[in-house]
Parts: sequence; structure tokens; C-alpha cells
Amino acid sequence: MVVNYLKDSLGQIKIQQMIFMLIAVTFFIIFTGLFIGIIVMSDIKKSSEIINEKEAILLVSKLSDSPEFSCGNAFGTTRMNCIDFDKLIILKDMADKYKGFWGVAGIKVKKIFPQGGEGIECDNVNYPNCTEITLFSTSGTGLSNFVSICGKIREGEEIVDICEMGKIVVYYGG
Amino acid sequence: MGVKVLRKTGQEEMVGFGIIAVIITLIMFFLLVFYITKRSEESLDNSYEIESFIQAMLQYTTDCKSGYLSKMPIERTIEACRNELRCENNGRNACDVLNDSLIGILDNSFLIGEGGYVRGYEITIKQENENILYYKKGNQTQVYKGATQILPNNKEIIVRVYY
Repeated sequence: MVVNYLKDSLGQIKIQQMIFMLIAVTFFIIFTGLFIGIIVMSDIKKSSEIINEKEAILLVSKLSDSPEFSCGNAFGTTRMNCIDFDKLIILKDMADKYKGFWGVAGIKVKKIFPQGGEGIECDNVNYPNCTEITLFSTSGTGLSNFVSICGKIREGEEIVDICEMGKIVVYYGG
Repeated sequence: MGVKVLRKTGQEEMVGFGIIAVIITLIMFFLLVFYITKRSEESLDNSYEIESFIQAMLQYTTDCKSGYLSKMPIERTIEACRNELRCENNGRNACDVLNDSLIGILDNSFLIGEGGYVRGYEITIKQENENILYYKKGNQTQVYKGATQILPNNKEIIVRVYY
């Protein structure tokens, strides 16, 4: 009688122990899986943000390196992220002919240093003592990138190459 | 008596399992933290925006002539600063001109506060582990974008912008 009781209790304890173990292992696996899942998802989100940033900037860079904007070899060597401001002021006069050419709503090139501050739109009268040139519209979503804005300036008797720090803003939609 | 011994053995097994589970969890946690830290540093140090910034910055014309007919871009001014040269057009130390130009560019490119997200930035220009210039403004945070540009003669420019 006592032996049977002991055997029953032993069996129950073993089953209880196994159930607890199974529950604990299941919870452990679930929580670990969730934890890893959250980390992986956040990593994917971060990667997508980086890709989006890269794509947006490459799109703007592509535009700034197009022949209508880029410095080319006009300032000594071939330069990346360099906009010829002299080209741009001429392009501004012919903006209507280029509407739709780049597939964007608008483009703005602005100086940020040493000039900059409050924007003075360039025209044939105030050039080069101005800070920005706008082509087409400035409505819609704007993507920007840093560029150097170069031009040939008269200093006394000589013509010198001057590059300033600037930004190109490309507007889409709108 | 026999039941007590069996219960004690069962409890010891449970405690053992618990300890193993805690140890495994901690190991996994530390591995994940290490993995995440490594990944975030890799991704944030290759910002295309900051790479473009450095490219544009190097082309900026400073108010310094030294051995050239026209005023030098930042890239050449770094070399002039390294060689402790003076500007021929105004007699200023090339390092002072470089310093003023870089501060002006950074202050106007990354506006700290003023409704923006930028909290601070730092720039390091060095050659073979020797600092030519270091400038820092604002606060350093855990979230940043950065880029490194290698120049001739093992010169290196590192820019980090904190958000």
C-alpha cells in the first residue's frame, strides 16, 4: 500500500517536473525568438534607411554631375560634387527650354559659406553678388546634398577661380 | 522519507536548469549587443551625405596664396599648414586660415539646434596618427553620421555629425 502510494507520488512528481521543464523551455525559446526577431527587424529598418539616404543623395549627385551643372575641367582638374555657377546663370535664362528635361519639379543651388545667410536670388544684374539660383519651382519634396559652387571672379587685373561651399536642392512632385 | 529525497533531487534539477537558462540568455544577450554595436558603427561611418560634404569642403577656396598663382583650396591649405607655411597674400599662418575656413564651413553647413536635428560635430585632420587639426562643437551623442576621406601622403579627414 505504502509502496504503491510512493510509486504514484514519484510518477506525479516526475510528470510535474517534466511539464514545468517543457513550459520553461517553451517560454525560453519564444522569448529568445522574439528578442532576436526584434533585433533583426530593427536592423532591416536601419539598412533600408541607409539605402534610401544613399539613393536620394545619388540622385541629387547625378544631377549635379550632369554636363549642364558640373565644373568639368574648367577649374583645373575634374571635380566631383562641383557646380559651375557661371553655367547656371546662363541656364537660368534658358530654363523654359529645359523644363521636364531632368524629370524634377525644381532645382535650387545655394551658397552657404562664406556668403549665404538670407537668400539673394541671382539675376543678370546682381551676379555674382548673390547667393542662390532657382530653376523652375521650389514646391514638392526637396532632397539636398553638399556641393562646391565654383566660378571665375575678377580680382583686380586677374580672373581667379573661386569655389564656395553650397547645397543643391532637388524638388520632386509638387 | 523517500519522497522527500526525490523532491529534493527534482528541485535541484530545476535550479540547475534555471542557472543554465540564465547563463545562455546572458551569453546570447552580450553576443547580440556586440553584433548590434558593430553593425551600427559600420553603417553610420559611411554616410554619403558626409562624404559629399568632405568632397565639397576640400574644393573650397581659402584666402591664402602660397607658392601658387591663385588662392589655394582647403586640400592644399592642409598641406601648407602641415609644412608650417605662411600665406603670401596676407602674411597669415596657413593653419589659422585653415582653421577659420573649416569653422566657417562647418558652422554654416550643420546648424546646431535652431529647429534642426544636429546636436554637434567634430572634424579631425591627421597625417600618420599626428593631428594637423581637430575641431569639435556641441554635444557628442550615440547617433551620428560620419565619413573618412583619405588624401595623398597618408592624410586623413574624419568628420562626424551627431544627431
